[in-house]
Amino acid sequence: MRKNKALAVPFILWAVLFVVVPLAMIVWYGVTVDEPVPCTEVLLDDGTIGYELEDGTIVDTKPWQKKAVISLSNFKRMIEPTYLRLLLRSLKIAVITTLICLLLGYPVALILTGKDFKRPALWLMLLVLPMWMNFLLRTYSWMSILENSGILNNWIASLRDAIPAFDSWLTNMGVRRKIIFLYNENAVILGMVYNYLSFMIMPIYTVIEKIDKNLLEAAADLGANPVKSFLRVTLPYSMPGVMEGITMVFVPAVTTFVISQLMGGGKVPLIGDIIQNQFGKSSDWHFGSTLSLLVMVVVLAFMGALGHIDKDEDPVKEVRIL
Amino acid sequence: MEAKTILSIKDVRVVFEDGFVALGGVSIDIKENEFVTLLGPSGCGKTTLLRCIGGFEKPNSGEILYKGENIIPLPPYKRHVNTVFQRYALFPHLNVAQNVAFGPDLRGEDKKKTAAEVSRLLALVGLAGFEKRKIASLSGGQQQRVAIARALINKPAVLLLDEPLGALDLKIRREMQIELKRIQRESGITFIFVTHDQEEALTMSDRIAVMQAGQIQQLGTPEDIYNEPLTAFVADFIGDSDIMPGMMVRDRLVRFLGWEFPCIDEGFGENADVDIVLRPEDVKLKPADDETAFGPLGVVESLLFKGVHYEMRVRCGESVVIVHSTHARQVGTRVKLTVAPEDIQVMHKSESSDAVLKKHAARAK
Amino acid sequence: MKKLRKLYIGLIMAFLYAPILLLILYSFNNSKSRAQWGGFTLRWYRELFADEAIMAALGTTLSIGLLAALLSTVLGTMGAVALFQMKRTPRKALLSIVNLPMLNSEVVTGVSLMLLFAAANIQLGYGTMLMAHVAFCVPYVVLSVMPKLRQLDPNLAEAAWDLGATPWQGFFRVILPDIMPGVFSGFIMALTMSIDDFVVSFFTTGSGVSNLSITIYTMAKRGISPKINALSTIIFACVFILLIGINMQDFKKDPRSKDKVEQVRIPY
Repeated sequence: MRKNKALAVPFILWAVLFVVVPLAMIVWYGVTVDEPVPCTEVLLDDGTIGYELEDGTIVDTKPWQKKAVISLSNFKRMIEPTYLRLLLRSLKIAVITTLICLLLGYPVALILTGKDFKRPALWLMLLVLPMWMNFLLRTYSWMSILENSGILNNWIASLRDAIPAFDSWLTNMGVRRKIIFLYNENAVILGMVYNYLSFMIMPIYTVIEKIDKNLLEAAADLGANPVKSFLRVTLPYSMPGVMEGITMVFVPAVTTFVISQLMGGGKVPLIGDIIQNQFGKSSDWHFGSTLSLLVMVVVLAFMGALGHIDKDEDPVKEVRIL
Repeated sequence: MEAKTILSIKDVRVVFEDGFVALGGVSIDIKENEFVTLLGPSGCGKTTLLRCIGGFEKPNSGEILYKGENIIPLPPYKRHVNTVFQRYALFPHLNVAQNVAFGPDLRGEDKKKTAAEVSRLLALVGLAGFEKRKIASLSGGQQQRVAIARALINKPAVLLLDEPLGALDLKIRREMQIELKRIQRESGITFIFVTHDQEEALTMSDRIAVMQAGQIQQLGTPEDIYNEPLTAFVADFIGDSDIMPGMMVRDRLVRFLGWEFPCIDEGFGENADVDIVLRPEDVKLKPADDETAFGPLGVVESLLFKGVHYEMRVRCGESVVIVHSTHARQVGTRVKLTVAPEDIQVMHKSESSDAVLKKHAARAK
Repeated sequence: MKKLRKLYIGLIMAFLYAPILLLILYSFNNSKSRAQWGGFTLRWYRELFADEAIMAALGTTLSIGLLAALLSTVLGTMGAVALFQMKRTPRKALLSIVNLPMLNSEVVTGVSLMLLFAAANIQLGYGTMLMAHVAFCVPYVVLSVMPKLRQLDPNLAEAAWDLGATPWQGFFRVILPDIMPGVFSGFIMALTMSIDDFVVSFFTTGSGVSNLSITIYTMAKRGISPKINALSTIIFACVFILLIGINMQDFKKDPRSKDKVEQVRIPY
């Protein structure tokens, strides 16, 4: 029958042009390196320096044109300890962030789906609302709370002044007058947890909310106490939401470069920072692409481990609507 | 005067992409102002045939002639037929009146005239005053009526109904059967009705086409189909029946249940294998010692009260015969089974009969 | 127990809102320092509207957000409809391509698009940023429209054609109104993603075109002007009011939208 194939054209064009081709380019850049065009420096008649190419032509500026040569040298460079250590740190921070988000977020989802709150939708909305404030700004705001002469330190200082016992206790504990909160791994983790917590809560909430309340009643009816019915019913049924949440936190956490720059003050570089650098200051697009490939592989492997790839939820028979 | 043929379906074949033959060359002529039912189990091709007429499915070969013109190349929106879908397919964002007025509005007809027509049709289907109601607020039966009004307002020459009563509960279904029949009479439109419910088909139709495996097994009036099934499949599908293998000894004498019964059938040849169909109400039980009755002996195995009648399973050698009677006989009673010659349906063996026979033989175990 | 649970939610809310309240507070602070309270002022709000750089960045953010959301909604809706009508195998293949940008980290998306524009020799600027935003917003629209299509009565479009509508008339009169909630939420999602985006914009812009995120990022190194706080407060207040409004409407929504996806009956 008349299938409106024309409808698919712009969409497929988009998919090819903006998804497939860019990824192919990353792969291409990743497996190639630049070789400077061979040339020799020559003194030109007007006293300036020129460059003579192999074919005898002379150009004014050092030949910038590079030709990509297939090489695995970037892969060798990638597994140098410097970069591996960065990758490991990124993974470590991402895993810790994800765990904290899960531990903090799961109870939130659980409580909001319970009977305590009459309008859970409203509370959920309040949880999402902060995301509408620019995330750089929110992170920056944390910096002003945590910095050396920031609000938190000011408060603690005034507390110490007000309560001498507290002050001497802290002094005995070896706590300095100005506590350094920022520019370390913990600060980066805090920034990430703050930014990604909602990503964890939302999918878990959605899944728990859909659990048939009859199931819980049935469990209670069969003599399960609340703890048991949570372990036997709610927890297993909420696993898809947990998986989704883990993915939504882990992926950005492993690749961010903004939070590490702000909260880490450049002292806690992550793999994302290196990638950004390669496309900025260092301008080695090839190595940057190799690292991007690495990140993609890590993320995909992670998703694979979670069994998250290819969740096939559509049994639809093809239906024509246009 | 002979009614004119409005729709003529000629050797229509539909093969799905996966190779499944949905329609294996179906032909049927439908007359003006007729109520024709396509009856069969799911997967028999009845809905596919309806979709071909509606224009939603394109036959691989064959012709569909509307008043002599082949309409297969026409898209659905250019055909003089309208469809009432299984789950009504009402437009949820429009109210009742807007749904019914959908066709006229598309054609840009005068709003006032349309509004009057909408009210007239809503009254016809028994929904007067429902104009402003939301679709979601209607019951299944009411949605059904809106769907019919929405189709009828386009004054189709033929109305196609795809199991329109399937989603309704029994009581409303009975009401709607009568309603539909009334609407068809009053509107004077040809109805082609698809169902798998034989009772529904028998109640409403002028003619029934019993379909199986992409073929029309039998086409006839409800009485024909019930009383004179042509194949074991039709006999099995329509009404309750006992189907068993038999042998035509010679003209007017047939052997089954280990007994030779006189019958009225001729022309099968001598000692020909045939299928025998008995309607349960046609089998009469007589006391085993009744000297005036002739038939094989059996033992009543079970007795069920069914309201109007009793249903008894009578074991007769290897077979079990289902018997309906208003006269109960206790389990264990020995009886004689008798059948009047004209109540014995003798049928040629057909491709489909094996499966049917197996099913019936399984009852004896 | 109940009090404990409420307290927990309260603490989480405090954690989420503390920096935001602080930002709002600073926007009224009559001192450039972040650590001191210099008294209440509306000065930053006044100066904000005179700051051409910030206003330009705001303009870029809003115009790119709206354009990208609009374009990706059109493209994504068309795509969802096309996908929906495809056979299983090509549909699955295309769907996994659609999913890729969502699985990919923003860095990879941004970098790959930058490479694309460089290879195509397109000058980085407003146009490339817009294209990039459309590119990463489309999947969100597709994924929010698809479920609505699945919920459609499979005969709905056929019913429209049957009553005399051409396929396009049928689409605009019947299908589109029915999937509108999905299209709308796709639009809102795209708008949100675009307005909040920093990473992809960072890699795909140039020639001095910057949106709010980039402006803030650049400022962060030198110290953020309270004018930005003022602007964020205004945006936050607008969104807050908007969301409350939408939420109120939620209660009036017709109950049909909560229907479970009914099984698609195979029509034969």
